[in-house]
Amino acid sequence: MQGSSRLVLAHFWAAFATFAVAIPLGAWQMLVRSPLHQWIPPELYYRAVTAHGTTFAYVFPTLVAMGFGYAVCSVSLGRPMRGLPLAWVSFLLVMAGAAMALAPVAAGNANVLYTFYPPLLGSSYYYLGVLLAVIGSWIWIGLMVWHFRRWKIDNPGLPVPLAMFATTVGALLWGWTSLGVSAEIAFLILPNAYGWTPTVDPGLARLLFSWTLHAIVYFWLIPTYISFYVLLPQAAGGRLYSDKMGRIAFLQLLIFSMPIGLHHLFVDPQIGAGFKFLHAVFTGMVAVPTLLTIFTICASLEIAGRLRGGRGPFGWIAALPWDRPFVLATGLSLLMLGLGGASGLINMSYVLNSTVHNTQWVTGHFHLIYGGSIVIMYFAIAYELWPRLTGRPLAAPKLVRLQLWTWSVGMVIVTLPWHLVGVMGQPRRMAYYDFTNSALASQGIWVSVSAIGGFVLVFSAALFIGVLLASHRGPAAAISPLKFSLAVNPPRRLPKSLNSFGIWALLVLALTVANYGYPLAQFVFLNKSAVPAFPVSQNDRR
Amino acid sequence: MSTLPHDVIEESERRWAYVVAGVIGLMFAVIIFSSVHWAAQPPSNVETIDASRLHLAGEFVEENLGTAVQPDGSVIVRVIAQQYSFVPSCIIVPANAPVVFRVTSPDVVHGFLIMGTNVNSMVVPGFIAEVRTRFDKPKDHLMPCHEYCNVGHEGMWAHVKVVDRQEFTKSYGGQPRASCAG
Amino acid sequence: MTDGNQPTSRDSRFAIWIGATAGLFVFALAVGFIWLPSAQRGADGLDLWGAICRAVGLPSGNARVSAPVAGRPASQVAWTTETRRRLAQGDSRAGAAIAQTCNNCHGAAGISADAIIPNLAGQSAAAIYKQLDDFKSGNRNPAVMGVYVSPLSDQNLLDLAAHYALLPNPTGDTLSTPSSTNSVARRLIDVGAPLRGIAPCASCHGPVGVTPGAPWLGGQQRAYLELQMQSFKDGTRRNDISEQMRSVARQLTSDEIAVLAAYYSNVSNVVGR
Repeated sequence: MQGSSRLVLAHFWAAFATFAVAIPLGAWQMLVRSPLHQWIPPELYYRAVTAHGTTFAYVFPTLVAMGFGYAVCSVSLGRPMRGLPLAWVSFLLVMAGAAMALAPVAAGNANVLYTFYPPLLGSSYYYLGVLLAVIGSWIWIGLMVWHFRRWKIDNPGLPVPLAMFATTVGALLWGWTSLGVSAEIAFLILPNAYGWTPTVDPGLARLLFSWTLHAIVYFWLIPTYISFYVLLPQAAGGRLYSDKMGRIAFLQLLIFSMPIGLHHLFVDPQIGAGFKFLHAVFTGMVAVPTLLTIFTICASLEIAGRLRGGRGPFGWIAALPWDRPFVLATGLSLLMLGLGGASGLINMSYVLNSTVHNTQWVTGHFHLIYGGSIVIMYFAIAYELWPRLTGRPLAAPKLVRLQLWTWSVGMVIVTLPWHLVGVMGQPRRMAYYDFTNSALASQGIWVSVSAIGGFVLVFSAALFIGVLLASHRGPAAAISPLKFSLAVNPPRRLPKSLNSFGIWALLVLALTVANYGYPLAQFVFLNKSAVPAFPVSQNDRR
Repeated sequence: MSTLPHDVIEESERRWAYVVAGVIGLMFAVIIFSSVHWAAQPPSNVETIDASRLHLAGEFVEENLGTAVQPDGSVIVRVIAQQYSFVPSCIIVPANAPVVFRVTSPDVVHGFLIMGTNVNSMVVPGFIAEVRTRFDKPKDHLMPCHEYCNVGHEGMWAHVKVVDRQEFTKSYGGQPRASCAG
Repeated sequence: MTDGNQPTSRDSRFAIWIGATAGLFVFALAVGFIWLPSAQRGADGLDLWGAICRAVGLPSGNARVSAPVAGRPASQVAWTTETRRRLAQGDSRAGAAIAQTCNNCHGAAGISADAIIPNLAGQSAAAIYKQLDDFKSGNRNPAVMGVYVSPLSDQNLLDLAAHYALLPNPTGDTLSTPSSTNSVARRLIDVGAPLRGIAPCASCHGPVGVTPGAPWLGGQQRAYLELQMQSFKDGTRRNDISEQMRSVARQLTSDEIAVLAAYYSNVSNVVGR
């Protein structure tokens, strides 16, 4: 990968190292709150949830997105990446931030969960660490945007390769949406933690967090979608159905992912229902690029299938090379996306949301869509990149397939019962439940099933790490270079609207002002709503 | 790929886009219909209150918590959500009457749902959360806190008893603020 | 729209998308701020303008807030930032001087010799301050304490609280590591009884979590503890803000109260702050 292999590998190894620790934590959490285990003193549970959530929200996906971004940048632009020293600084800042945040968590001084809703207050190092990791990633954003613009200047009038275009979308989106949690930490929480402001407004904090909370999952999603568009068709032996639709989908993700965060606050008392409805409408819009992507990707797969001799309306499905990891992963990902996307549509449905808000349905939903559809493609990307990064072929293709299957099956076993107990009314974030009570007894068996699924995931995670380790240490061989998929009709020229971001960035800004302007501004004149902090640490007594 | 000319691809994508627009449009229609006809919508009042002084004066003093019958037969239930209990911990309401929950917190963010119903709200200190509902039949419901509020969160469960109108008036009608908290 | 072969004509996509987005915004505004609120205002007796203001989220003087049933607040102490600031400024040396009188009953080292008189050594400053203020205001039965507290100023109370908080609690530290949860007391302390409305004692009284004003219980006098919990249970003591302790004590059985008092009196506070 022309000099950036070590950079990409560092990001991926760091990401998967955190993954290797946080997955068993998750399985343990599921076990101890199930009927399969007696109740534990709750502090340890919340400590684990904070560690697991912080890792999977702020560390793991950021590292994957950054690493994959560098890989795309190096390969798709046809020339080596520049600014490597800056990229390494960025990596180190992210890792330093992660360490700074996770150390107090491990010590039990930051049991605030990754959502850290003030006025709960943990160790200030926790927030500093998260902020540092986020700010470190902004260097990556700068590098992606710089490379995008540099290439355009050097190749006037030519379409920017889709992979780079989409990566830049992800970078811009992350830059804009990370401002919410950064502002919350920098201007609300830390000043209060250090005693510069005596109180903190929990309504404003939740509002700022909602700015980040939805679009961050699209930041995680974009590497997955990029891989659908630029790696899958090639892996399946076909072509991308429409390059243009890919750009349209990514642009819609850029525009609609962020100004919809109030759908996390549907039942909050600090926002008027008019704005809640406004965000609900725009949340409906963010389903569009996903639905367009599903069509385009299925069509691309159909091309590959028919090229391999598939006949009839569905014969092409069987003809696809399912033994190839990327194709298998995509199929499994799309199945989980169908399930998880459907439950997401319930969440956004304004009124129906109150049936599921803060029940285990929500937790089931985002584990399915993130841990399932998104992360399985992270595995696929890793498997695809590994030979090119290490110069060694992937070890044990059979184990790779087993790993992908066990991950999917495990994820479905974990999350489907989870949705069910949510509908049965089980609240989130409790260390244990009294399943002897008749109203809760029927939930018990499903929680146990989920817990068992958790251990299937641990097995799959171990396989994944094992395959990567074995591949890294295998014998060197000649590896074909990474190539991105060709479209059926590769564009020779593109209109400005599909090849640049200037105007779209203005639209994002305008929508942000429209959708978040008043809800934020109202805090200037709302009084009485700020409250003193409540430290969570057991070492911080009054 | 000469068998897949550009405009054929475009046309198929466009047709799919119409399907997508239709699906999304249908969802909006359902949401709007249910909001208009069942008057069901997320809470909308924005009211602030001094969280640290709730017990000293105002709507959420101890004596004012619980179920208050209004002249029109509806009830207002005032509840405090605190680390780690709801007050009153046993909430009594009559069936088939409009019920308004008004809930706030003196400390951190909590939430509550009433199992078996769609009553569901965050409770943010500094703000009053208001939820309107109606219970159709006499039943006992559990009401857990559903937002992490620090280490005692898992212990935060209240009970909601729905009794029929006559029994409510007979057993609780005399009290200005009723509860079954004992 | 263009394909790969022709030169780009005027790019209408910007106009179309921006126009459509603006149109969607206007639609959502019309439905969310006008139509829906007007369809639902009946329930609140609002006129259209009031309903729109409510939908925007303008703070309302709510018509529901009628005159509250008044009573006596459980405590005059409120955990405002002001109170916390004042607590942090208590002068322990001034407190030590005032405590000469207190030592007669509560012991020179803050450990009393009488099972019904509470130990104060190492107690949370917030808890001490609150109880002293409650005695002074009469929110807690001032039968014995009243005569000692009434001549003291608010600053005196803060200083006393600071003084006692610094006194060491001499017995060993065994509460911090929960052992088996088989015993009734340990179970209540570590995991509580959720569906009875009993959160783990340790989540408010430490060492796992501390809520404002919650006293440390480890090493406390057994008879005192038992009496206080019984008093919360039957309502004769009601100075706990918003029934925090009464809610819990009502659910505890007398046996459980006895077992908890016995357990806590035998172990010390977690040392260190």
